[in-house]
Amino acid sequence: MSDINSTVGSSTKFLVKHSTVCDDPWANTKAVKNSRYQLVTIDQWLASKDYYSSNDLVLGIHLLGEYYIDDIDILDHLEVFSLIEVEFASFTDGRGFSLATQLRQYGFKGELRATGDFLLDQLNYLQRCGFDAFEFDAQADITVIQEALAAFSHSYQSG
Amino acid sequence: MYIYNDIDKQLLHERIAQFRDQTQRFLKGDLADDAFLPLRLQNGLYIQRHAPMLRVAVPYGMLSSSQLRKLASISRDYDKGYCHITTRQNIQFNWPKLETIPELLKELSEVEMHTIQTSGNCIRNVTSDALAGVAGDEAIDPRPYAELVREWSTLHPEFAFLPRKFKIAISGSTQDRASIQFHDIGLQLVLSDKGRGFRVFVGGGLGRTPIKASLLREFLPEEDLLSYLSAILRTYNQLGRRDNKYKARIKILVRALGIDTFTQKVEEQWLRVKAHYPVLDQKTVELMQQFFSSPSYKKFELEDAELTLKNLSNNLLEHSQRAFKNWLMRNTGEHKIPGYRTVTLSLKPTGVPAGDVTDRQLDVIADLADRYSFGEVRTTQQQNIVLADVAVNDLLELWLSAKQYGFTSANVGTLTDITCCPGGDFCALANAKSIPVAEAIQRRFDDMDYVYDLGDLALKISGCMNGCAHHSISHIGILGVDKKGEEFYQIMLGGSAGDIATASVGKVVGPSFSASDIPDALDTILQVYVDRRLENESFIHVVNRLGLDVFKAALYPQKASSNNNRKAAKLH
Ligand code: SF4
Repeated sequence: MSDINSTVGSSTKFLVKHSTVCDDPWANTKAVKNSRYQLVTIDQWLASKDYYSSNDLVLGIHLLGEYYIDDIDILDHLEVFSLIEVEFASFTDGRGFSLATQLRQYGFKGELRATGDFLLDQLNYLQRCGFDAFEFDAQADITVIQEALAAFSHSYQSG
Repeated sequence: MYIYNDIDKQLLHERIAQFRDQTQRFLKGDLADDAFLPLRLQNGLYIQRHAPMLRVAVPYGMLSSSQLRKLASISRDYDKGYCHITTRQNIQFNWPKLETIPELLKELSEVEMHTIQTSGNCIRNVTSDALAGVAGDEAIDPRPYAELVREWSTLHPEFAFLPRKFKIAISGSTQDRASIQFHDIGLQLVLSDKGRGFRVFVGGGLGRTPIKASLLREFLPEEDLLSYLSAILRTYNQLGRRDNKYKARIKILVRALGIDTFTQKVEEQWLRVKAHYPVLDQKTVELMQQFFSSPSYKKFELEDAELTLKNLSNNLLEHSQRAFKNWLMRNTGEHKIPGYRTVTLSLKPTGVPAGDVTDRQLDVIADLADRYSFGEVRTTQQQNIVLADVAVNDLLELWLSAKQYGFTSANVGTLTDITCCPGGDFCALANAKSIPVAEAIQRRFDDMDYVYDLGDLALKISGCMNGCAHHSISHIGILGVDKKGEEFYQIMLGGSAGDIATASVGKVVGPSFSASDIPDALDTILQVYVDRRLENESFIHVVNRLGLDVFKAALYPQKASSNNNRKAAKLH
């Protein structure tokens, strides 16, 4: 399991949600005592489902793009999560695109966030797979990001 | 032919803008090499041995005369005056300059053409039967479905970063001219008592591990096509290997899981998500079919047409008469409409690399298409061009015009109609040259009477294991190999793809030959065939009936005799 602290809560990152820069309520949750916002790994979740499912937590879960959905036991609990974070190990590894599409098809309505190694040039596709939030390095430029998100105005797959 | 609507145009426009931006960022140094690589590949751009190579999609092989003229002008203005037809019915430019490519793409878009997904680890341009819509043995015209699949797969957000490239072919005939069983997905259109649908094959492929596809589903209703394709692709995208590019194709996954487990995974996924995909209803299909309706054929009575055909060459001199008749026999084919024939313009006169075509020739082909075939042509897997709708009373005139431009080598479907990849002369991946070997064979077997007597024969040459020429499903396949830095050639016999039931991968006949020994080896193989064939028996039939041993014995006499000696020694 990867160390989620390396991708979460670091001040060199910023979050873009629905095409605008916004604060990440899950950032620095480790530092804030008794924060309602919790971001867990799949192992943590599996080990303490009952605790994390309690109502007063706003729960996020961190997944790796390479996870095969049948192998991770979260499908029956999607409504528990306010955030699902999918980390891309490499921008050429397209498994996260399928994972995200499936999460949406199986009914996940919360924030679906892409982190890790993806390209600006992939943003439009990622968005169409269901991601609505993206984590970027500090040097990324928001206008360029917005343009990339809007690269295509139509799609052949929308039905 | 399909005509772009506003959405098609808009998307293409946006894709070109995106690629222009990517190219500029790369040239400025803002986009790293390894990031630009998959992005440019998704747009058909390779960096080759001498220069970039740009591959243009020809959806299911159909081209209009205006597209041909545009390809001609691009060959002139951006390249060295010629382009190349690939074995997947696409067009390649071998010498464009990187900086000029965005402009080139803009010109292509003016005739509704592009390079989207012609390479890279994504769903490639869909291929089909070059005789779609006109073949006598066709049950259902595959082109409307091919176009629907083209649209579904184009700029598909989920399947742009697959483990490896992914190829889909569709056929609607009993004879399989699209080699569907050697594609990642092969779709055979069928009519059953449940209506129209597809037999779905999966996991076929060529390259270093040639495998005939497995049957995934005996019948898929047409309305479920897109949801089912999505389920297959998703299963592959998630479970296909990514650690080793030689084991990353879907054929390896299907083999590793076994077809039953693979099928189960696809079906489960499909049932779960089916509702999220559009249904191909009758209206959608009918709207698409209108783009591929028959041209306005003239009416001929069958008998009149046959008589016309018979008498066409009466006024020619004797030797021209013979040449014309040979051409009629080899380069024209039956058509579903009485009074029409399909005509293959051969792009393989001796000494020209298979599939190469000059700007001048492209213009001429466009003119011929306008004059004789409703302004349309098709590219073929065998790297020729087909005029699909030629009236019999135009054949002589067409032959006379085409002859002036070198399109009438009457060798279609014979030994010298060689399919050949660019090989070591152009391709960075090659182990050996392929073009000079093809030429040496054409020069050796220049006696057309002998070639005709050999009958239908597919000979294909690939410069490396990637097998772009499809040598492993060829009656005779030649493969360039590297032996301690020297170019050698393996010969395979017995491959075939034309028949769904009997399609097979060829077998290597024995140790490889040097380039200069290939024509002799071929001579030996053909001699065995001529000696052993029964009346009217085709080459491939003889190979299947006798097996490889007789050919081995003739090709490697010393080995055979030393084996015999050993056997004899054992007996004593
Ligand atoms: S078969 Fe090999 S040498 Fe020939 S074009 Fe393909 S990759 Fe290049």
